[in-house]
Amino acid sequence: MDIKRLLRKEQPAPLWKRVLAYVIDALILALILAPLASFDTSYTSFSDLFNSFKTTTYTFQFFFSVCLILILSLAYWTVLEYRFQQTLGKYFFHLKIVSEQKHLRFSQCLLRNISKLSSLLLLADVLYMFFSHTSQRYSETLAHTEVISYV
Amino acid sequence: MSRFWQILFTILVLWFVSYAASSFSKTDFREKIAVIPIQGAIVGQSSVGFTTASTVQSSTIVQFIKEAQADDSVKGILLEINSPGGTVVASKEIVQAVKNSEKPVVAYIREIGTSGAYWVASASDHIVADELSLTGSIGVISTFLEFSRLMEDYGVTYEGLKTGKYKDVGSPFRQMTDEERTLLLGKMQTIHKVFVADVAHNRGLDEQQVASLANGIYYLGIEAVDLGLIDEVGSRDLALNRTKELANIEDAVEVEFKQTSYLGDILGKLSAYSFYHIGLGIGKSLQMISLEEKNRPFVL
Repeated sequence: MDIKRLLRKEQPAPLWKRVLAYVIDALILALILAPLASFDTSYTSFSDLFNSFKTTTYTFQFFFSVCLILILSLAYWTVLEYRFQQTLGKYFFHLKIVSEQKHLRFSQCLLRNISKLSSLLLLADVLYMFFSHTSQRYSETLAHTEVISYV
Repeated sequence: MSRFWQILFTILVLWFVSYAASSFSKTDFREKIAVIPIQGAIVGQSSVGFTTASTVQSSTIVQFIKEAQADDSVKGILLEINSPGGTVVASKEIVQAVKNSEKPVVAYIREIGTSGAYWVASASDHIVADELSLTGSIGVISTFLEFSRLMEDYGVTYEGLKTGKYKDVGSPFRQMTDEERTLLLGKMQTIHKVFVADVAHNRGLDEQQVASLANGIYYLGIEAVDLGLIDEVGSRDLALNRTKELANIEDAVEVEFKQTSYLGDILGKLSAYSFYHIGLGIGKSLQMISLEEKNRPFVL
């Protein structure tokens, strides 16, 4: 496997490239979610926000927006990685996702990105990288995927 | 299509989904109470000048009431009145808009709600006023300046060419005749009668009773409640609660309808104010010099 990779001039992605690719992707995602971001600007206080939940329609509307933000965030990473093996950030830094199995499946892409829904989960996931000999996130290990750098 | 453009296209699709969904998520479905301030003299049309800051245009208020009416999420209207009244037609326009409202309207008189402003309040479903606020003052006033003696002192004569006998009635350059005075008073009486009749109708009071109160005097909130001119004395919060009660809602957010000030208006007002205060200062100085010369007491 390693010999094949060497022949293809592929190697495990360096951390700095991954970080920069993530920053670019985060910025693009912020642009995608920008139209939804002004949802709660009309509230002056948290009590006002929670009082509004007494209205059924509004509660639905709030959770609709939250769900949509989560779905779109997940879709950005999952769909692009499944479809093209890379996001735009990874494209710029010549990084791509490969499966340790035969083919990269959608469920693998979903699993490796699930931690990105929560900053706490992501933090724990990234911290795992520093203790792992393969420098992979825990979710990547679970999904049997790897980020590689190619020429 | 290269991989780059395919990725970009996918991103664009995701952005479009986000944009399309945002129109739904931004729609504020909360139940609202429209708060419409009526502050300053009620006029039909204001122009940039000394009085601009203390006037409110009837068309603006009527438009606000219509907007509140059209917005399904608005369940009630609270008129925040702090006005000494205004011109007859302008006040009547707002009265009509309040009457046409299918949503409950509550008037809250903060410091002053007299004359035309009280007329507006009377058209609402419920009136709350501060106990020390000024209200009532049902009556019509018309004032004219007359400079004929001043002109005489300076040897200026007035020559009025007119095709109608009363065409220059109210001219500041000549004294009003008794006949003209009677004629104008008659018209004012007509307005007064319409005013009294409408207030009586709005408040469910006897017309004679309102006529006896309509001597131009203002009443304090605590007096007005006994006379039936207002429903109760209380604070703004009470008025807001009454609006919610009439609208049959428990919780609602207040949405204040405010007139947007444009930069030109603000600059116009600033310059007008500056010149007004300069003029006021010069005027007072001259007045003091003049009075000191004549050795008469004065009050500033």
